[in-house]
Amino acid sequence: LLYFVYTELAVAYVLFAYATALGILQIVGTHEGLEGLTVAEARRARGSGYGLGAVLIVGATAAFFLSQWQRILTPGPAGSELALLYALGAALGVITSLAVATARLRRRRVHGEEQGETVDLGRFAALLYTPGRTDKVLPAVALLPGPGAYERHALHLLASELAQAQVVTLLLDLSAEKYVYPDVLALVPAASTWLSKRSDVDQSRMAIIGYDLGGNLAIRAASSDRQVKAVAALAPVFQEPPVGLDLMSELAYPEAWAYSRDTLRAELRSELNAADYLTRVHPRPLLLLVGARDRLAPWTHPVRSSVRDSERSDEATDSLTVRRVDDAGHLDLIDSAQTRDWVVRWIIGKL
Amino acid sequence: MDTVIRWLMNDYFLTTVLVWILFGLWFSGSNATERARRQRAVLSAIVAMFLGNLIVKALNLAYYRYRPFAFNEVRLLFYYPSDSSFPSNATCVGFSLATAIWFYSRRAGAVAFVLAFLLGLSRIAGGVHFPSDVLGGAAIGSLSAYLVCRRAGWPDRLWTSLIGLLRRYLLA
Repeated sequence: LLYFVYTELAVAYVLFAYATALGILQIVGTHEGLEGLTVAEARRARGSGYGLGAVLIVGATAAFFLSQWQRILTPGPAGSELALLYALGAALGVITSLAVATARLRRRRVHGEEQGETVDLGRFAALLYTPGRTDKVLPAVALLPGPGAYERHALHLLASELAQAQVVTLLLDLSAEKYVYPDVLALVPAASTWLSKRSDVDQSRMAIIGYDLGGNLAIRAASSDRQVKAVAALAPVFQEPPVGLDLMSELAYPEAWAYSRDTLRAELRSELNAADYLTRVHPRPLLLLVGARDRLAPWTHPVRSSVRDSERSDEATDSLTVRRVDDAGHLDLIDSAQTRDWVVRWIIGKL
Repeated sequence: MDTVIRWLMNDYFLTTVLVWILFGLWFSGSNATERARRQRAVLSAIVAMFLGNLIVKALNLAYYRYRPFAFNEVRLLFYYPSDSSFPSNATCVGFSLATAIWFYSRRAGAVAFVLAFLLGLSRIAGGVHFPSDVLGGAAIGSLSAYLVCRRAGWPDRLWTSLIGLLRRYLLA
């Protein structure tokens, strides 16, 4: 029931609103590091985000006022009508930005070819990465991904690099349906038993590395499995996931939607209760590797207090290493070859 | 100079820029707490703008003041508005938004005040308002924002629930 003096003016205003809202989203989303909200990469291509936003705002403003100048100076839509038109344009701008960001993030996460040799562990499957033919007895590492698919590719890279560094590496390959408590507790014992039976593995030099909730599982499993000599938890999850826009710091809208409603994930985190098991890994070395920009599982107070408890013990001081990786989030924590190399060197140094 | 004044005083430019600030504020903030504060500012600003408009409409019904160009020699840079000159509705909108934003974010509020001031000033320079119309609009807008943001308790409680709900849909 809107009354427009000029339909063309109204249409032009919606387009103006659409482009400027899209532009503002690029600038604000880039500034706040909300990858799921921006057309260009918010963290790695900040200049593109700001530039695109500025071009959209300035370009749309110039185009609207230059094309509609005469009509603008005549009676036009009422303020409430303009507000509705702007809301329509802005909503379309938000939808466009979310759709493009979703496509961009999906394309970025297309996984490369997985190498490794498939291994059957009974109830579980795994991929084995070995350094090739050797007569030596080598250290071994079991890699535990989380229940999501996001971090698996990074763990494949880490597995390859561990194998290159003369470490027999077993990457557990679990579907999300099998990642259920308490069944999942059988995973590490099955892996360590299988590894210890291999003639090329030194049973006294076995470690586990877990990513995301796999890190929680690694801590929990190591607390009772004495065969494990060192533990690295990459981006462990000690708190409930955030709600709202923070999830879009690394996830596209559909992924963030699913992540925030994943009750199995929340139950697993709660049942594993890794924060309470941190001290039980002692005196074996434990690495907590966290991203400084991780907003999906931020490193915050409840964990620190638990770490402080372990640090109060003199013996524990040497066993715990907490390392924050600058400019890394949750899903891209070990995307950098430098970080993976540091983890490989740390684990080999502790075995 | 006339073009600049026309650019500033029209119904589309400065009011839309003020909306850009609201739109940007909604998505900004380095953490959830800061973002919620700014989102409260946005919601309060919208309510303050509606309240200010209601007061202006009520005053328009009770009192009609002719525009400056009706009986004075004024160089009009705009179309002939037919509604009451007092108070300035556009200025009221500008100041209600700016004051509400100011209560939550000083920096964004300061920018919004500059824009609202320019809007009021351009309306006088363009010949559609007396200075007292603009002052009246600014006072009503600021008062509306003050009432919504500082005197009424219900908006803040309502915003907490609304923002919580929107967060579940990843919109806040």
